[in-house]
Amino acid sequence: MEAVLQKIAAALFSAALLVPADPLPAADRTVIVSVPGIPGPYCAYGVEKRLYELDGVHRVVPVWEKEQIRILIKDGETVTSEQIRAAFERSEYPYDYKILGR
Amino acid sequence: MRAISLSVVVAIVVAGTTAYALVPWSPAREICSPIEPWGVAETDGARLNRPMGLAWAGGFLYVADTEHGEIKKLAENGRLVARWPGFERPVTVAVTGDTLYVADFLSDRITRLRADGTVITRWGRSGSGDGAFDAPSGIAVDRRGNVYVADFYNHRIQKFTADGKFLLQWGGKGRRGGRFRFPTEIAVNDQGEILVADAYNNRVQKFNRQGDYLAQWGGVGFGIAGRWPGWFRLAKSLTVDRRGDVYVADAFNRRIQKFTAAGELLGQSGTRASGDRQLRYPAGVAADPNGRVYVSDFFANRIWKIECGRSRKTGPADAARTGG
Repeated sequence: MEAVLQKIAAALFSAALLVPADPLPAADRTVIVSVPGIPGPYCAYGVEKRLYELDGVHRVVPVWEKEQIRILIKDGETVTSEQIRAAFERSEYPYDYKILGR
Repeated sequence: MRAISLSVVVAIVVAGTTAYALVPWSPAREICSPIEPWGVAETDGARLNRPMGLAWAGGFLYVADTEHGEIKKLAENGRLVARWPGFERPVTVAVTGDTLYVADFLSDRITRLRADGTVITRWGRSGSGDGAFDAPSGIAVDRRGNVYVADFYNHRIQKFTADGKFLLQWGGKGRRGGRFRFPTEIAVNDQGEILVADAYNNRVQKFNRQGDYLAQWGGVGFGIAGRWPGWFRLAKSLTVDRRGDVYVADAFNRRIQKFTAAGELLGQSGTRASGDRQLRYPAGVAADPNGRVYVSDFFANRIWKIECGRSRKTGPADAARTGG
């Protein structure tokens, strides 16, 4: 039983490292979203546009070579993972993505 | 008996140098030369960062350099002539005389400016009402000076006067004729007909000046994508040449396809090339008066040049003439 609990705790710890807490502390500044296989500009720019509609977003940077979108958070502001997911939803981004953390 | 050769050798003269290359076979009648790299030196500030929309006017190529946030003007040899910075995400540009129109995908605005950089007017706001945009993605100007804008997330086309007064709009999301799924570019032909790259419906649609639906082409319709000649996998951009023929940047098929004004396939280019000659993501296309076509390659950060010549039932000798 103890071993199982240890495994669960380890899994939760690992998950906590990968998925940012909600809300994302402003001090962390940059959130990285993995967008594997992102096919073209309108997918990225559509997401970028919807992310800019969030109050706490300072800058959005598509990093094409790494298949990432980096979100810089304004000082003193917070942006939740849920808000980021909602922005992806509103952009009608059709592929898988993963909020990696900071 | 009709003889078909899978490839022919053709001499191509580009920028003073002669290169020999294989012309990809196409079931269409017309032979397009392989893509050739063109201009845009790494020096003198002409480097591109994710080029998209192109326009040809007065002997110059205008490039929407999206991630530099500016429009660049390039001479025929690829040298940088002028630049207009200060945009957020300029995805397309139209030019008439010495006036530029720039659509900014992020700011939901159209900017009309003179060649000296003076802003004449700006219009647009975020939204879905008349005159508002949700990511303007394509722009064209007709001979009367009217401006047509593809409104990406609103799935429609809006028509304005030259100074931005709203005239009419048409479209809405859907697959039927006259509706759109994320339209990305517009062109106007000499008859004043409006051609729209209906990107995610994988087709081209044609309208009259009032927005009445006239025709469409691209596969079997219903938004179905395909690799076969005449089909599209994301019809990203288009342009019309002086003869009225239509060139379409078929983004995920990594090729340019050429059609008559009625949608009959004439030729294609880009599919059989390999390595550095392979288009990675054709995002913009423009034609000059001499039959040359310029293609922006978004992921390769460069401009390519294609020449298509009339060639029917030809042997290598004829093909050589068309390619020269």
